[in-house]
Order: sequence, then structure tokens, then C-alpha cells
Amino acid sequence: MTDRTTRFRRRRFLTAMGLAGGSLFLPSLGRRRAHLAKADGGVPTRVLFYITPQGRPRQYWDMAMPGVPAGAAGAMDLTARSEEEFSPILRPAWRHRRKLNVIEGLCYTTVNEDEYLGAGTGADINRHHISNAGILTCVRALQRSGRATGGGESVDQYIGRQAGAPGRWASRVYGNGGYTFVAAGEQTGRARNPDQAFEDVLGAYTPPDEPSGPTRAQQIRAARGSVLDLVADRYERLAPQLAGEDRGKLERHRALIRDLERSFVDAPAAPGLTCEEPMAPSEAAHRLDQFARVATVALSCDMTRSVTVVAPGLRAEEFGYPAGADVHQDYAHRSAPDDPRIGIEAMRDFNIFYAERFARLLDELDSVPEGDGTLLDHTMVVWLMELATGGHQGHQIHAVTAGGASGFLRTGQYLRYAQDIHLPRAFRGGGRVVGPAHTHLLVTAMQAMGLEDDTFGMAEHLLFEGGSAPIRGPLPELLA
Amino acid sequence: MHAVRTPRLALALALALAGCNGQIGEPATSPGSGADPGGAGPGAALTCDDDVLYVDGVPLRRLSHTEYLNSVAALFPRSVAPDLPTLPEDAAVRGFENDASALGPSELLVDRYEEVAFRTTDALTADPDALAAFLPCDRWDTDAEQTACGEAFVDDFGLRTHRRPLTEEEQATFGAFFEAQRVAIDFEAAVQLTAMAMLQAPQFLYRVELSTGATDEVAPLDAWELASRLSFLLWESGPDDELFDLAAADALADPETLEAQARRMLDDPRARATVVNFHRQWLDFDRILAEEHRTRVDEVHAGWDETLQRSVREESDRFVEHTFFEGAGTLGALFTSRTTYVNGPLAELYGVPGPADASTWERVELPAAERGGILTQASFLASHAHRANGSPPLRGVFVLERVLCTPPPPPPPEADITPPTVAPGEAPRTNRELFEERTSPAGCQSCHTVIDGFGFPFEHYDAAGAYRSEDRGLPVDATGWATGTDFDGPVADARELGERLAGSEQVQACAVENWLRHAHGRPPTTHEACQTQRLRDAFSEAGGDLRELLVALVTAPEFRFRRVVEREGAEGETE
Repeated sequence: MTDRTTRFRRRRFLTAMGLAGGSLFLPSLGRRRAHLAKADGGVPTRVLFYITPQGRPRQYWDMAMPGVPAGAAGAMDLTARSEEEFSPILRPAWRHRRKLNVIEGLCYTTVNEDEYLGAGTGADINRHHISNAGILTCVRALQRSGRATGGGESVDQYIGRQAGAPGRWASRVYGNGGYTFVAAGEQTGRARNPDQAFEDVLGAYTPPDEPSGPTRAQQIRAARGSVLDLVADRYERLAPQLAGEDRGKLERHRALIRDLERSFVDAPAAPGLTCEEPMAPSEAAHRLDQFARVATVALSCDMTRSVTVVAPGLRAEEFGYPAGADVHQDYAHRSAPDDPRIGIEAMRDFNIFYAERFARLLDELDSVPEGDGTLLDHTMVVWLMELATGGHQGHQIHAVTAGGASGFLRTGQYLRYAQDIHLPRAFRGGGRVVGPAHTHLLVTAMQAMGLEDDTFGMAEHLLFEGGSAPIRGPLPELLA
Repeated sequence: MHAVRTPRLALALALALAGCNGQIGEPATSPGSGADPGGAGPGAALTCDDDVLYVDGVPLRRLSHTEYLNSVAALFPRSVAPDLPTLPEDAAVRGFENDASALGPSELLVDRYEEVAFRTTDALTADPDALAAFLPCDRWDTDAEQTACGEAFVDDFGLRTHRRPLTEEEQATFGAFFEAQRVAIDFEAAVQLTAMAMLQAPQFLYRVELSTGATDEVAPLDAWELASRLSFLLWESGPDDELFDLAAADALADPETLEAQARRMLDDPRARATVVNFHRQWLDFDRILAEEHRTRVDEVHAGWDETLQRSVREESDRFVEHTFFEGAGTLGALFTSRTTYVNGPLAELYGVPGPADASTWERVELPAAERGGILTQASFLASHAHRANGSPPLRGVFVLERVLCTPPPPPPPEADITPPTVAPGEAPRTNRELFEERTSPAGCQSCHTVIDGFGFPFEHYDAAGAYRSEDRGLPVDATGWATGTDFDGPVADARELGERLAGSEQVQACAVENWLRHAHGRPPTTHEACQTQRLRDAFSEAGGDLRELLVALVTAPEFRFRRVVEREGAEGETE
């Protein structure tokens, strides 16, 4: 049931009430790009990062590009490809091909540099760890007690802060640990369990008041905002008595309480949105499908504009392999391109399983009508993998985007990037020839969300031949 | 009377003199700096003089989830036990979940704190008996009684949540809030909403040390702050009434009183839970619960299933609690004791008589010829194994990193770390032989010559932790060697390794380092080398008795001071 009068007690978009104006915690609207002002009937643009573990065997991921020499850069129209022409791993997403960009040949350049500079210093450069720390932060990992962790704020959190507004969650993170950080060494809090995630959404829904006036329970609920006002005042009084990062922590805490406080005020739904009364995800569904449902509710109701789903690992039986097999050791580590062992087929099926989940997510987003299109049309979904291959390489990274980001993105393309950037390489001489930094894709997402930034994290990288090169700007081929 | 120095003042003196040199810990960090260069650094040479103390900063600490949930539970009658939302997981640092640098606020956490406060106080005020037990007054029928009870409640609950008496300003603020809600809604709602505010106050969620009496660059903790340090170290929870009473009487600074309190607290079940929780983090007990340890191949102990996986995990807690509170109570016993608890599946794994089912636990002695100490128990052995075989490198690295505090460098990213296997048609080889071949290249040997010496002694235990004399029909070779320790030399097997670890001062030093990490919410710094050395000496003189180490830790003069960090533009003021 569509109910445009549905009201949300918490985390609602309050601009319509005029409460946003003058708030100290509003993002700088001046940094937003003009295209947002022209967005579809006022429907906001959202971003969703989708991270899956391990890498993928290229031979089952890459697609043939007729007319483009093997290994050469080029672009291909995806919309004209038949389902059979899609690669086995990407085939589940074929039905969304008009709204996809499939990208071949990026590099986790900043992670590579972390490895290069950390090699031989005693730093933890385990590729799982530095990828986990670095692919959404794009800075060198923080080395803490022998273990690499995020060295700064991750892009989803940065975007969330910029797109945040009183009454709205700055971001939501669902699933496993790592990848997203609110600050160096501080992992973003996340709901690991879909039930908990859905409870959050339910907490955001309040039925209309009784005609006879608020009940005692409603009075208490309403007073929770006053409690938070008092609490925030306690932080404001204490923070100036502390120094350095101690003080910073309390100030951040205070700001989060102020934001939560505002979420206790009722507000009408944002114009142009179709926000249905939250429907619980099916208990029988896979955990990722349940997260997809919750994420769709949160985005469609504008509870947040930045969602990240960190996919949990799979049990072997979930993608059709013997129960108890160790996916990491038995398959992923045995799936290097020239490895004769058993892992390649397993990692193909592992990735097909995730592609099916990804396609279900797109089904959910595309099922919500908004303005002249759907929620998916107003979202930029970015699918990144932890690693490139089972051999744990961090170059020849592939990615997928979905959705048009309110007309900001061109879609329906298969893009292969030239491998012509020579990076230094840890342990082995000769360096490594790679494609563009994946940071450009993250900058594309930032700009899709209306930010004017053209860098994120490290603004330049080292070159094998000496000197450095900038990492600046979006991937132009993605722009409409 | 000790002179108290911060590192900045003391270093100039220290560098000129000989003495113990601080090789333990990491360079000094500013409070809350989050800097943690990782691992033992070269350290600066300090001179340890009994008359000079070195005090380093302790960052503002948000409560760990264990501390937070314990503290919340302690504030309410036991009958108040609502379902609470799951708190978002914090990152552990070297296994520890209370490292200040990893504990910041996040949007979801702030939301959860609010929800926990709401649900807990909702359950309290919905239960008249619980409310009567909770409030510090007998009647709240009339307006006057309600107002008076509100004032008493604000003072009482304010003390417990702020872990010190409220200031006049705080009394007035919370009191006015209470009264406003009482008038607007009702008395119970005012209790609920005011309690919610206090449960979210920074003084409750963080450990704030402002030390109002601070002078110079160091400050003695006030009695309330000292009570909290003591309580969170030994109980992972806020102070109880007795500690509050002593703090109110300003009696805790007296070393004899402090020691008596520490001993009282160590006799309390909360200390047992803390000691178990410390070892859970230090020795990574939860590793066995990882998905990869849910199954073993059929050739390994046939009874391995999720029930046994969970039983193996539970044994570690029971063993630690028994060893430190009913057994010898020493660190050495942790590595040698054969007294443990088994249920049916575990008894079968160990080959000892035991209960018939999984829900009954009995104390047993494990066979002397096969087992001795926690490193010969299934939790460590199976969690440092792959599905088919034990992993000598994983087991050896664990001993180096966790037990000896000398972590080896990580393997190069392109090292083949898959379990080695015998090729089809090849003659059988032992697990040891396969790993010896895998790590034979010179590039591997520089590290593995050390790692494997600690890993091979566990070859008598398969991937489930079951004892074996033969591996694939071939005799097991469990000999190893210790390198870079205070007990270097050949080791016959894991039992002998356990005995060597039990007698090692290096292992005691590692335990001290980890207890200091747990106490301060950060690794010990090089400037704390003298304190560390004194604790090591005390621990050694006490025969490795954990209770004596903890008493020494809390009665050390350094425990009663903190370093003052100036705020920008506020010269002379304290934190």
C-alpha cells in the first residue's frame, strides 16, 4: 500500500518542515552540483556500495568485445547483448543490462601503494587486510598492534555526512565487518543481522496519532527527543574540558546525538517519494536478500541516502559445494589463473551466487516507482570485490555500477580500460602495469551525489619510473 | 613520598643514567592520539629509581561493550532484563576489545545506546516491585513525596551513572528535567526519562578523568576516579557501594585500603568473569567459533560437529576460571595444568571417562602422557588447524605473538599459505614433512626457522585436537626448538614446551604487558618500562600468581596518577 501521508518519527527528511535551515549540522549545500537541483521532481539521489569477498576468475567474468582487440581498451553496448553473450558470472544481472555499467581493468592503486611502502617494514600487508582497510578509504592503512585497519574516513561515510540532514541517518551499513570507517581505526557501526536492521526501520515508522490525543506511550516517545537535548548539552559542557582527540570524540558524539534528537520529530514524507509501510523481509530469504529489502526500504523512504552492504562470506553448500569445504583455503587460494587445482570452478560459482544476490537487490530497487522512473534510476549502486583474483591480486579489478543516479550516469556499457600505468611493486622488480585507480569510480559516486570534490583520499600515486601522478576526477566514460 | 614525573621531565635524567631499559611496549602517545606504532619498539632507556615514577597518558575511553552492558545491568534490579538490541561490533586490537583508539562513537551505536536506555528503563518502570527496589525512597503518592523522591533519585542514580557525586549544576539540571517530565506526564515517566538521560551522559559512556586537584604535569586521580579505575580493571563494571563509600571518605588513596579492596574484589564472581574475559581476548578463545572450524574432514576425529566446536570453546572458559580461582592460580599452571572440564563429546575427544551427554560437565585430569596446559587443549589446537591438518605455522605464530609477545613479521602477500597435501599417487608423508618442504626455500626459512620450532611440538594433535602417535601411518615427530627466548634449546613435544613456557620470565612479561594493555586501553609505552619491570619482578617473586600481579598493578603508585594534557589556549589548565 502506498501511503503518501505515512509519517516517520525518526530520521525523516525535515527540509519540508523548514527545520533544516540554520542547523549547524547541515551539509554545505553550496558544494552540491547543479544537476541535483534539476533532479526528477525533487527525488533525491542515493548511493549504495556493495562489497563482496574474495576475487573472481577472470575467464568467467570478462565478456568478449566484438571488434575490440584482446586486451585493448574499448567500450561495448551492453543493451544489445543477449543473455548468452553475458559472461557466466555476470549473466544473472543481464535483465538489468540497460541500467548497468560493467567495468574491466581498474586498479586498487592506493592499496597497491600501501603494500609497496609497507613491504619490509614489518607492516601488516596481508592483502585481505589492506584491501579491507583501503578500498573505501583510499589512504594508507593504519598499522595498529601489527594489524592493518582503516586509515581514515571511508567514502560512504564522507558522502553520508555531506548528504546527511537532521532526521535522516547519514548512512547505514549492513553485513560484515571492515571496509567502512568513521575515522582512522574506528570501524563504522553496522547491523550484522537483517532482523536488527529491519528493527531499525520499524523504529522509524510511527502510525498516525490517535484522534483522541497522544497516549502516555506516545508522550514518552516524544519526550525522548528532550532527553537527547539534555544529553547533548552534557557533551557540550564536557568536551571543552578535554584536549585533542579525546575532545574530538565527544564532539562527534554530541553531533550524533543532536542528529538523533531531530529524528524524534514527526515530518511528512519527502515530496516525490513512494514510501511504503515497511514490509519485513522474508525469513526464508538469503541474508543478502534480506539486507537488500531493508536497504530498499531505508532508501525509498529517504531514511538515508548512503547504504553499504558488506556481504558475508558463504558456506560452500550455499553455492552448491560440499558442506564444510573451506572456501578460502580450498577454493579461493586455489583459483589463480594458471592453477590446475579445483578452485576455479568453485570461485566461478561463488561469484555467480553473489551476482544473483546483486541482481535481486537491483530488482528491489527497480520495483519502487519514483518520479518518472524508479528508485534504481535515482541511485548509483557500486559493486566492488575485495580482491581481483583468488591469487589476491589488487590490479585488474572489475566493478559494476547500476542505476542512473538521477541522470548523472550513462548506463548500458561494458568498459575496458587500458593498462598503461606503471606502478612500483613490492617484493618483485619491474613494477606492474595497470589501469586507472578505482578512486576515480568513487569520485564518480561522490559527484553523482552532488559533491564537487574531484579527489578522495590519496590525491596522487607513485610511478615505477619515479615521481608521481595525480588521481583526480571521475571516470568520464560513466558520465551522461 | 614519590616524586612523580611525566616522561618529558624524566627523560633527560633517564638518558644520562644506566638502569633498566624500556624494551617493552611502544613509544609514548598523547592521550587519545590513537597512535599505536605496533609491536615492541626500541624504546628509550629509562632509569628506574624507586623515588621517581614515570606516568604516561591514558586516553579517554569509551566503555567496551562488556563494560557497558555490565555497568547497565549493575544499575537495575535483576528482574529488569529486557531484550536488548545488538551493539555494533567494535574492532579488537591485538585481541583486546577495550582499546581506546578503536572505540569512538558511531551513528548506529548512539542509536543503540538510546534504545538500550529506553528498553531498560521501560522495563523498570513497568514493574512496580522493581521500581520500588530501585528507588531510594519508600513513597511517591503525593506531589510532595514525588518531588522529594525525585531529588533523592537524581542524587543516587546520578552518583551511580557518573561514578561520582553530581555537581550542583548537574543536580539542578537533572532535577529540573525530572520535575518537568513529572508534571507533563507522570512520576514513573520522569524516572524513566531522567534515567535515560543519565545512561547516555558522557560520564557514563566514557571513563572521564578530570582530576580536579591537578597540579604540574601530573595529577593524582581523585578518589572517585580511582574507584572507577579499580572497578573497571577487576570487574569490567562500575564501582559498588563499598567502593563509593570509601571514595566518599577519600580513603582509597591509602595503599593498604586499596590492597584490601583489590583482594575483596578478586574474591567476587565479577573478577572471575573479568579474568576469563581477559584470557578470552589475550589467547583468542573465540577463534574456534569461526566458520572454517565448523567442520573437519572425515579422516579427522569423526565426532567433530558444531556441538563439539562449541564445547571446545566453553572448555577454555571453564579451564581458565578453575586454574586461577580454584587451582594453582598461577600463570605457569595455565601452561601445565591437566585439570579441566569436559562434557560427553569432549571426553570422547580426549579419551577420558566423562559424562554421557553434551550438557553435563565434569572436572577431569587429562592423561599425563598426552596433555598439559591450555596449548594442549582442543580449542587452541583445532582453531590453529585447517580442516584436514594441524598447522604448525599458525600454532607457532600464536605462541610467538600471543604467549611470548614477539610477533614474527607477516608473510609476504604472495606466499603460498594453502595447506600442503600429498599429490595423488605419492607415498604418504607426515604433516610435518609436508610443511618442512613448503617452508624450505631460503626466503621462507628466515622466519620459519623460528616459527616452526614452536609449531612442530604440536604435531601429536590433529586438526580436531585429538592425540595421535602416528600421522598417516608414520610415526609423529613432535620435536621442536625455542629461539629468541629465555629458554632457548630443543623441545621434545608440546608438554615440554608448556613446561618451558610456564617457567619463562618472558612469558610472565608478556602477560604483564597484556594486563597493562587491558588496564590502560592502549599498549604499554616505553615510558612505562619501569612500572612494567616492577610488575614483572613482583609477578616473578609471587611465583606467577595472578592475584598478586593484579594487586601489585592496582597498588603501584602509577595506578593513582595520570598525565595532564594541556588544552589549546588553556595553559595551566588540566584535561
